[in-house]
Amino acid sequence: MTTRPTHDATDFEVTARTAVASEAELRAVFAGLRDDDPPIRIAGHATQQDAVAAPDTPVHVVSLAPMRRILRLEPDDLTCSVEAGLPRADLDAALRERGLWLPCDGDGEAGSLGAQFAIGRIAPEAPGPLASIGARAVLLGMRAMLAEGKAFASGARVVKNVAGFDVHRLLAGSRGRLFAALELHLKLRTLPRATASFATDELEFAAALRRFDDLRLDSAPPARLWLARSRDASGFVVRGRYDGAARVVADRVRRHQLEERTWRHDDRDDRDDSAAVERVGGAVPPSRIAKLVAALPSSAPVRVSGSGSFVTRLGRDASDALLLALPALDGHAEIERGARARRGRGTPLDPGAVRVHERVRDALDPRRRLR
Amino acid sequence: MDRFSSALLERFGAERALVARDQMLAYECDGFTIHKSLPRAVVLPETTDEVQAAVRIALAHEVPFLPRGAGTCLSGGPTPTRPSLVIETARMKRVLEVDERGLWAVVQPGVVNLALTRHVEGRRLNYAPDPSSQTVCTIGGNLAENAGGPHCFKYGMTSDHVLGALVVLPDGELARLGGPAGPRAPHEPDLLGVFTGSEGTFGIATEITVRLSRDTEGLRTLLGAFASMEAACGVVTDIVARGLVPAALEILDAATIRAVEASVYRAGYPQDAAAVLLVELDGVELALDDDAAEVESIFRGHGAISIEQARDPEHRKRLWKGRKGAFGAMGRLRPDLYVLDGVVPRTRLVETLREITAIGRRHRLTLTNVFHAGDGNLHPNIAFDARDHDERARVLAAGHEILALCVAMGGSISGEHGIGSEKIDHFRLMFGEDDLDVMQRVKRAFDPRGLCNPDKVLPSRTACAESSRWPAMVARVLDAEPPAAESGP
Ligand SMILES: Cc1cc2nc3c(=O)[nH]c(=O)nc-3n(C[C@H](O)[C@H](O)[C@H](O)COP(=O)(O)OP(=O)(O)OC[C@H]3O[C@@H](n4cnc5c(N)ncnc54)[C@H](O)[C@@H]3O)c2cc1C
Repeated sequence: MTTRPTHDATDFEVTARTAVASEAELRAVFAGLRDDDPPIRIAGHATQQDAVAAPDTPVHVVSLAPMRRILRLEPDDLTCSVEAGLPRADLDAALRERGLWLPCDGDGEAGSLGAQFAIGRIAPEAPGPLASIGARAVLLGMRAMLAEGKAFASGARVVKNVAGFDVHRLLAGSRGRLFAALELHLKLRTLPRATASFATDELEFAAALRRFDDLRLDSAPPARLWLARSRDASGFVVRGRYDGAARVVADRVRRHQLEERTWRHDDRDDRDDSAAVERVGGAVPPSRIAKLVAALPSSAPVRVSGSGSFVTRLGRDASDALLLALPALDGHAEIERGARARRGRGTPLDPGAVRVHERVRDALDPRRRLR
Repeated sequence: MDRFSSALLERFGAERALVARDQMLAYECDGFTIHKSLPRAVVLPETTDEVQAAVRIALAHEVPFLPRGAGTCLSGGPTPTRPSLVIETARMKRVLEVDERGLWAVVQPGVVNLALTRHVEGRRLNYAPDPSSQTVCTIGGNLAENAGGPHCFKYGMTSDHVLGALVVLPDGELARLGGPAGPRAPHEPDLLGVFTGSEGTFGIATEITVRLSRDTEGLRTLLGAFASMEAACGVVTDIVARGLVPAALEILDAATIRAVEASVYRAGYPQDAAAVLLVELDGVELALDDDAAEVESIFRGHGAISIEQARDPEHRKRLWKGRKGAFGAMGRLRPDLYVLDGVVPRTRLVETLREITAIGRRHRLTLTNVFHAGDGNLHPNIAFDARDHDERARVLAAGHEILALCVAMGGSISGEHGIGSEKIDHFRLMFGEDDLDVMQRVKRAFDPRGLCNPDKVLPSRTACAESSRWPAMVARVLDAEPPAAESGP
């Protein structure tokens, strides 16, 4: 299967577009940059460019979309290496054929794997060892290139490794502003022997939260777990998926009196919202979910995962109010989608962390060629 | 007395600032005793402010400094390479907060790994990473080394369980990386991710927020004995391919079995076996008997000589005793022990082990293997006498060949023990000059003056090598009861 993403979501001023098919081609683009050339925005298939902070100046978009090969797939070792432009959906399909899966959020998406990591949406969806896991656990290593054209490696291809500094961890959330990832080494899992998706009917918030917490704090929690209020609903549903041995999956569904139902997040593509509606994404400790919901307007759609990551859609005033309220809940968030000037606004960052981040940028991209 | 020592004594008092040479002996090395050197001074802070004060005194006097937890590191991480200030976290052992419903805790870095689990076990919670040194090693040391353990096949490494850290940066300023809601990614690069495993070279973590896990319902522990290493490794491949996810998959080779059975860690392992495989299944009680039966049938399919399943907690403890005591048993064979740590793709375990045995023979060394088979994480152990300079040279040569072999197999020079000073000369087996340059830049971003645990991880100069012995330290680790964590902010 080959996914051909059609939606180019670039909504800022672009001076040129180049698609590179190899490390050498990317190096040539970087080498050809003069000081007065516009900076570069690294993109995969550009399907999420309207969901990250816009560059502060017109940019030359360099897309890694043609770099879409699976370079190595070792089913017995549960690892693979892919080019960073490979659409996530293509990898998912190739893995499924071999009884494997990539245990992290965002399955089936048309965007590239490099971008999925770089925009940092790979968060665990539930507690427990069988849950989808975070970027740190899935990304074993990478090959990447600095804007000065220097290619480098970090991490390894094996499932366990602590050699050297884990520069590849900086990919998560870096949005192409530190380096361009070229190859990713990933950890895989065997497909679960059985799965059961479930969803409750609409419930009052307090009742839904009780069910959600019962499942979340169970000694065998579901692999995926969400508490959600959809766009037109007043109540909340709890949805999720159990993975594991057939008997265990069936037992948990029975024990918690769940109804097996397939479900789909209804906010995967929220582009049809008016510009006044913003998507805000973030996280709170899962014990503070009630307070998070209390800080939202009563009609706001929201979904919160079993590990506390959430996405909501709000008007501007409500977004601002939420960003102000979150630090008291030990939470954080950012406006991910919305008007260009608003994207990237978030809860205040720790000044010490900001200093380190700036120093890391100074070290890896001193001329700020990557925006 | 020099000004540096006076400043330390003035701030910390004689009880918590050690400046006399004879007080330094306990800090001259960690578990990797081939590298030894005395610090210039040691301080024992109790709070973040005090760590900051210690770092600032060191900076004011241009003295290198480094954090130290329990000193169980096996790669020289907490051993100074120059006359340095050691900042020991032994007095920072309070559990500051536990959020039972949020499944997280905030701890000071000196909290002992197992003490945290003990602290929360009444609430059916645990802290999942379980290095074999967990009765002694600290959460701060675990964070710095990204420690693993026998159960990390299922539960992951320390990096999978760390949500946040308050860090005293090497310039004395504070940074809060992540928090109870986890790291700031998707909105900022995962700075905590790169801090984890930085081996005490990016600053000193003074408060660490960790994820807690719910206790599972039940456990089944099985031991299979096999006539060949191929058979034992074949079982592991089959178990994983069938989608079973055991909590632990540990293998001991024949030489280790013999050493264990001749020691106080005797576990009743069959002495005629070429390998034993310990499999621990955990999870929902309902499925465990079926899973255990399936594992037994895989054992039989690979011609197991004998199969034993723990009947009760005491029996389980006995089956694990040999595995947990393996390093100790080896350490008692000769005055010194070198524990190597390399990783290969799991499917290449058998050929790698064959080669490792050949390397040991070629260098005329007593070499045994005990390893985390599920992850392909090997621990070849070499028992030797460091007073014999020829033997010591052969040990180091064999170590280098073994790590080169791991890399040639597509693996890594370290799965959990870190690079420290031990493997600095092996770094280039895995990384090129450009990789090194980028890592050096990241190091400078955290530590522009280069005074925080210098000469570690990245090769720049070779640390001095002096030999000594370590079994006493191993015994301390294996036989210790964990100290209790203290409560309250
Ligand atoms: C018998 C035995 C068994 C072992 N088994 C395992 C195992 O199964 N898995 C495994 O991963 N390791 C194992 N180890 C290695 C060791 O126990 C781990 O690396 C452990 O994490 C070290 O913790 P520590 O408190 O002893 O740290 P130390 O040895 O004191 O220090 C380790 C490193 O951490 C740094 N550091 C310490 N505290 C801080 C802090 N607060 N902030 C920043 N940096 C800090 C130090 O500078 C040093 O570089 C074993 C060791 C022994 C002796």
